[in-house]
Formats: sequence, structure tokens, C-alpha cells
Amino acid sequence: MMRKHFCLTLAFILIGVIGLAQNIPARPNPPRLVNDFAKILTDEQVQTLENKLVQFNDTTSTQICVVTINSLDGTTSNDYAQRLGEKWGVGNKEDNGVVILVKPKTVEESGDCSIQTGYGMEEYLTDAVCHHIIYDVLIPAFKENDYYGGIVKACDDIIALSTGKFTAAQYTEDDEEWTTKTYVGLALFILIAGVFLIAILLSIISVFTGRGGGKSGGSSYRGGGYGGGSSSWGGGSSSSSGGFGGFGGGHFGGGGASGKW
Amino acid sequence: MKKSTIITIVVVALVFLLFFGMYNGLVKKQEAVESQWAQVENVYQRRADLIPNLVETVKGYAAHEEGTFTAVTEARNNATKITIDPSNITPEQLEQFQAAQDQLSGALSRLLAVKEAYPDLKANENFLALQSQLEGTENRITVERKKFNETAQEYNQSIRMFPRNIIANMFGFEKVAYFKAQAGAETAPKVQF
Repeated sequence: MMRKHFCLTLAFILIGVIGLAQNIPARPNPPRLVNDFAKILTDEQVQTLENKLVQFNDTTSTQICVVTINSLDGTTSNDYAQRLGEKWGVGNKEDNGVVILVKPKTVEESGDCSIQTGYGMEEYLTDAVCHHIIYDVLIPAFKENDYYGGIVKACDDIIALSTGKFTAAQYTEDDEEWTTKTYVGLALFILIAGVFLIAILLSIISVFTGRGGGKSGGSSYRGGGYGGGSSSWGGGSSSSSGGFGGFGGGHFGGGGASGKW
Repeated sequence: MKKSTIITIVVVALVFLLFFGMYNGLVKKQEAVESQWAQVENVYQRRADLIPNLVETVKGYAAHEEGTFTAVTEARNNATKITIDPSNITPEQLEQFQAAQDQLSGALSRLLAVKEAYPDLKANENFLALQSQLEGTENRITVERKKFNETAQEYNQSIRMFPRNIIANMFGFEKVAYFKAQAGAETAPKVQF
């Protein structure tokens, strides 16, 4: 009986996990900016592009993530790319991530690609700009079967458009500010908790010692809140080893464009 | 002091701390819902802002589609008139909001359909740029609505679960409404080129 319950619970948990996954591939480990799941690039091309994008990330903290897949799992390329960007957390705290998604053309299906911009990139890569990159850079090259050429040119354009937007220095500055805020919040919380504890102790002692019937507790506690930032593992700024440091938890709001060929 | 007294004090203090923590958690979740609602309004506003320009551009090529233009302008005015108090999002309000926005979506798609009859318009740079912006905005609307429903669901769940529901009742945390997925609303309307 117990066993049956256990199995059922396990099955539900598994279903839940699979349901949540929504068929978007898991974040690559070790993290990589170029993820050629569809195998349309050579190893050498992947490495060259990866180096270029890692270097761009190191100097500006802007993350351009290139993903190729064989199937969109029945959704649109925009939706897929947006959810992937959100799930992997492409970009850093300024939400300065870009996802370039390519589903190559096959005999049965037309090709489909999308550029999705993180919130922080929207003003530099407007929808019209993304549309332009897709229809004038990516698709013409893809039609010639030159996937690598198209993607590299698109990355170059995106880099040119967004250069100077965020410098690595700015990024680390913000990081420090965030940690001080956390400490202040924590200190405040301890202080408030301490005051309450003492107040409670005093009121209880006064009840026990029986002097003064006045209940003085009950100060209603309204929405103070202690500003502890939500945990974000926005590392990745270490430019030492040359490898990609990791995605920084950027968010995507659906900006960008898509196109088919 | 007796040992039992100390134990009582500690337990009471812990319970209080727990309650404060839960209350703060609810406030945080409520604020997340409110700020996500602001995002939803932002993207709808973004769409509304694109419309006058789009109408002007189409007018330049298809002046006698007057009926379509007034329909879009009217629907836009209706949609921008409706505002919702983010601290009290009721199903009726949200339904009204959604109905007005859906009406605008319909009017917009009829406006875009006009281009089929005017090849010059279809090739106009400005029109193409506006169209791609509109497409991106429709995507944004889908994304922010989805995020709103997720945030609202998390909040609604937490105010209904024991023991937080006691606190939610005490301080009047109300359930918020969801966007209803309509036929085809899951994916943004396709803007054809």
C-alpha cells in the first residue's frame, strides 16, 4: 500500500517536472553561448563564434546566445526563443541578453529563425532592426545554405549596434551596490526582529510578574519589508580563463522579430 | 525565571516571527502581481502608441478606406480609456479590459489586411518598419500576459494555502483574476508580410 502511494507520488512529480520543462533544452553545462543542437555548423566554426561572443561578453557583459534546433515543438520561433532566453537566463542583471534561434530548412518544413532581445536590449535592437537583420542578413545567407556566414554577420551587426551599451565596469559597480543593499536589508531585519523579540519578552514578563494590566503589544506591522535581493547567480564577469563564465539570469519580454524561408 | 516560562517565550516569539515572515512574503507576492500588471499595461500602451502612425501611413496609400480607419481609432480610444486598479484586479474588470483590447486587435488586423489591395503600401519602408514593430509588440503582449498569469497564480495559491490563508484573511489579501486564453490567443496574431 505504502509502496503504491510512493510510486504514484513519484509519477506525479515526474510528470510535473516534465510538464514544466516544456521541451526547451536544459541550460548547457558547462555554459556555452553557441549551442548547435541541429548540427549545422562545424566544430571549428562553433569554436570561432564562441570565442568571438565570449570576448564580447567579457568586454561589455552583453550575452549573445546562438541556438540551432531541429524542431520548434509546435510553437512559434519567437515563443521558443523567448522561453529559452528566460529559462537559461541569457544576459546579466541589466537583462542585456540576445537569443538568435535558427531552425534549419528541411525537405518537409520551411526554415524558421528568430532574434529575441532581453528587456535591456530593446532600445538598441528594436523590432524593426531585428526584422532588418533577419530579412536582409540571415535569410539571404540561409537560402544559400550558408548558416555560418549568416549567423556571424548577424552577430557582427548586433555587436556593432550594442557596443558601448553596458561596460564591464558598470556591471561590477552595480554588483557592489547590490551587495551593500543586501547587507543593509539583513541588518535592518535583525534589528526589527530584535526589537520585536524584546517587546514580546517584556510584555510576557510583565504579564508574569503581574504588574500593569495594559497590553501594549499589538503595534500593527505594515509592509516594512526588508530589501533582500532575490538570489541571482549573476557571476560570469570573470574574464580570466577565457572560457564563458555563465548566464546571468536575464529576462526576456518578447521583443525582437522572426522570419521563415 | 522557570524553565517552562523561557520555553513559552521562545515559542511565542518564533510563532510571531513566522507570521511576520509570511505576511512579508504575501506583500512581496502582491507587489510582484502589481508590477507585472504594470508591464502588461506598458505593452498594451506601446501598441496603442504605434497605431496613429500606422493609420497615417496606410491613409497615405489607401485614403478611401475611411471605415477601417475610424474603426481602429474608435477601438483604440475605447481600449485606452479602461484602466484597472492594480491593487484590486477583479474578473469583471479584467474581462472588460480584455474585451476592449481584443476588439482593437480585430480592428488592427482588418487595417493590416488593407495592404493586400495596395502594392505600393506593401513595399513602403515606413509601413514595413511599423508592421515589424507591431509584430514585436504583439509578441510582447503575449509574453507579459503569460508572465502576469504565472505571477497571479503564484500569489493566489499562496493566499489560499494553510497557514498563510489565515494571515491573508486577517489583512484582506484578495484573489486576483487571470487573463483568459482565447482561441488563438496563446500565440500572437501573425502579421503577414
